[in-house]
Amino acid sequence: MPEPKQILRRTPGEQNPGPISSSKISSWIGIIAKVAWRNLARNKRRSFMTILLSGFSAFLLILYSGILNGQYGAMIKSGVEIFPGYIQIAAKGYVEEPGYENQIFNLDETLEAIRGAEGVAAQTVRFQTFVLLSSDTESAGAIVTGIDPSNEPAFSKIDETLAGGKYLSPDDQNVIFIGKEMALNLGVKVGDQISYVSSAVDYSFTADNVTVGGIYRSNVSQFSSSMVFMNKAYMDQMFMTDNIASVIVIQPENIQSIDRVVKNLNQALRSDAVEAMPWSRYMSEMVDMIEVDRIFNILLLGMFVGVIFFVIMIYSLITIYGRFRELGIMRALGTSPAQVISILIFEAMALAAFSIVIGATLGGYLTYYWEIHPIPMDQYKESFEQYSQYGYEFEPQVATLFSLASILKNIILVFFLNLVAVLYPVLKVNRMKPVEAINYV
Amino acid sequence: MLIFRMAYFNLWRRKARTIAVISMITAGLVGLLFTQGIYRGFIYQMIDDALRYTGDITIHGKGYRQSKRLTDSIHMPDTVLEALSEVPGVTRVSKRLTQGGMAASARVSRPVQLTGVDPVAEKEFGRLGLFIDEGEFSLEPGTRSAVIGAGLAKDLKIKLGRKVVVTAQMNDKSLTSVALRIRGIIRVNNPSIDKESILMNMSDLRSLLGIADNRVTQISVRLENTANLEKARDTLLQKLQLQMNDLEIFTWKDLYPLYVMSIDMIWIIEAISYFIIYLMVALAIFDILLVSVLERIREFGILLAVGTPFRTFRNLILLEAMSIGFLGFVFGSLFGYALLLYLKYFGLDLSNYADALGGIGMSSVIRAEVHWFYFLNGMAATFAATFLSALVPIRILKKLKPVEAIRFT
Repeated sequence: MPEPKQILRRTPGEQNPGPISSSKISSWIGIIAKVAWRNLARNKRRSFMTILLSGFSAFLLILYSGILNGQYGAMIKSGVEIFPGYIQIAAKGYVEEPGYENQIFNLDETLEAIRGAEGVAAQTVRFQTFVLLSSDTESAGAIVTGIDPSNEPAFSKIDETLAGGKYLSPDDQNVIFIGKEMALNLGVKVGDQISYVSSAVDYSFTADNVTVGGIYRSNVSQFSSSMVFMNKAYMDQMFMTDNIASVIVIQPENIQSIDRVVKNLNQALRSDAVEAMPWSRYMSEMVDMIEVDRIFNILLLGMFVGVIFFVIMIYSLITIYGRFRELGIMRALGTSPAQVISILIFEAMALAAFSIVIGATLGGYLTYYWEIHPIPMDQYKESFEQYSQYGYEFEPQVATLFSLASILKNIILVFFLNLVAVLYPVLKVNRMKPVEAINYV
Repeated sequence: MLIFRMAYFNLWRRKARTIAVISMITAGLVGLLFTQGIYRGFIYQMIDDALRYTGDITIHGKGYRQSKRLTDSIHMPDTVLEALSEVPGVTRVSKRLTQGGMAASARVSRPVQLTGVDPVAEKEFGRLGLFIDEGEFSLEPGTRSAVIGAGLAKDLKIKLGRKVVVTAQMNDKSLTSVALRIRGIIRVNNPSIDKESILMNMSDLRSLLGIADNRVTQISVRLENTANLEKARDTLLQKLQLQMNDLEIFTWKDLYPLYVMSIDMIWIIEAISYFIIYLMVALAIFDILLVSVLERIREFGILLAVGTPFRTFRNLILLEAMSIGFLGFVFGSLFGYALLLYLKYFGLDLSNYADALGGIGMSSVIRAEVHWFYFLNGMAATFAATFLSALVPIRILKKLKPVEAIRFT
């Protein structure tokens, strides 16, 4: 029996057919598509199982990514918005060593430099240090933050969580704003006097009596048991921090464009001493935590998807091997190896496309739905509250995050895996000799 | 024996697909064993680290957990200790006295928890001596020695042998300060110790705070078997019935509900994982058995026609399915066990994320937990999946009529 190549070879007198026209290509694709479609319709079990499994993979990947992204989003929002903010300007080295050596020592000049920077919605100044607070009966260590009472509410919303008294005002001098847990620890209420002891930025001793002007509450007990606030204008006198700040917190106009705003700010600053940075820099522990969690989840998801595509490969293998004779006859009749591969790949692509449409639609819809209507987890309310000891405040619910980029990434992955799953049987078929294939049983 | 030979030849006739299914079961089982081992290692290591210091049961004075005030201490620790001595299963007990304060090194100050301990009892209680990063767990009375948490030492920028000045409120409400020499830096993967605590001798702290009585703020208890946690708590409650107006008793489950949720989650994650993986295994085996039966339908017809009983075919199909499952299980268990042993002794090194893991009370090296029940689960799931996947092909054979089968194309 002649080899297929000999059949296809032109005879000496035959005319060159010329360059391949687009109509020839579309007709060629049309034939391949028709043959592939018939094969898919004939092998219903394989087609059904592949669409089901691959669709389930797409659904699982999209939904799981949506849940993870939703969790991480809630974690970031909670961790960032509770106090630190999305962008900070600080002295270089402050993040690593937040001591008195690493402060912004030219605050006015720095504020002037960033005035009008593109993408900045608002800014506020903070000075942070540690103090020992003592009431008549108790004492406790605390982190004191000197804030600008007019600007701060736009950033940390501490004024909205008032449990007693009133929030700080720009004229307040010897007034302190403390958390509910701290008030309980010190045994004080609004109007009581407490004293603090600390050191000023020149390392001299500083102490004063202050009145509890207001008490705030926070679900993050770690926050309200350690963070206290005073008017920075007052602290400037007591801690020698005039024209000095620990950080300038920046509220971007759009939190999706943080990196661009940071770049703009650094261009405006042009400084070797201070720098603007995104939250991921000064909250690196949270970034690492998310990364570890993501690694574990990818391992788990990878195991599921890997096994699912093993099954798709087995179904493809069985189906393609079942057509070994048929493919051998096609080769013997002049179909080139490239055409056989094209048919098989086309089949895989068609199945992948069907499955993706089903899986992505369902997964995308649920991701979108649960973003708007989170799944309540009231039975685990107490456990969710435990996250407060790590500095996070979560609602007892699971909210997804709908992201077209994430869905597209998972769609591409599923499509690629579908092609990989048929690679082995396709290559095996490609190596067959027509005679052997025809005699295959 | 004939049936074994037939099954062997049938499976070997289509090597590629048989090997593919065995490889799939192997890969799936290895993945499941890895997941079980590492997840359980992750959670139980975190709980172990927390309980090393907190204990299985913790007793505080009424309201102390919220107020953290010395006035809410346990004022009759001997009565509690006496009651504990009558609770079966209690192996170790530790008393502690804690007061908040400020610690200052040359240039940095931080809020801290000053905790007075009995060094001998504490070493035995949580084997704290084994968790010293630098120096030693040395808290001789009268020497003003201290052991400091590794995270706190880093924040205070203080090194072994240097002094740290601590300021705290005394029992009479006045402030007092003392310089303590750092004898050891400790890391127990418990954030409340590593990032906030300075440990000192109980008698030194009492004299610093001007406390003349024997009050403590916490009594921690370890049990021989944590399965008896609730029973031990109830017995203790009964023994201390008269003192319960002044005391609060917590099990670790009360203090760490997040860990309880994590343990619940392990079971849920494992159940879902097993279900998905073995559903896939069943589908794969089902497909190759079905194709294998359809390919041989004429053979079966002829054998039926010559009087071979149906049970022979049933046993043959079951044997083929079980052989695939068995081989997949054996290879999966071997590779999985090797992986688990490696992860048990060398661990999964996540040092790049050490700070983040330390923040939630985790060691940066996660060691797998190896239990025999993983393999039992794997075996049961493998054989259930193989058995179920063989049912439909067997049913097809049962309905087979010899004449139709011989003519089957």
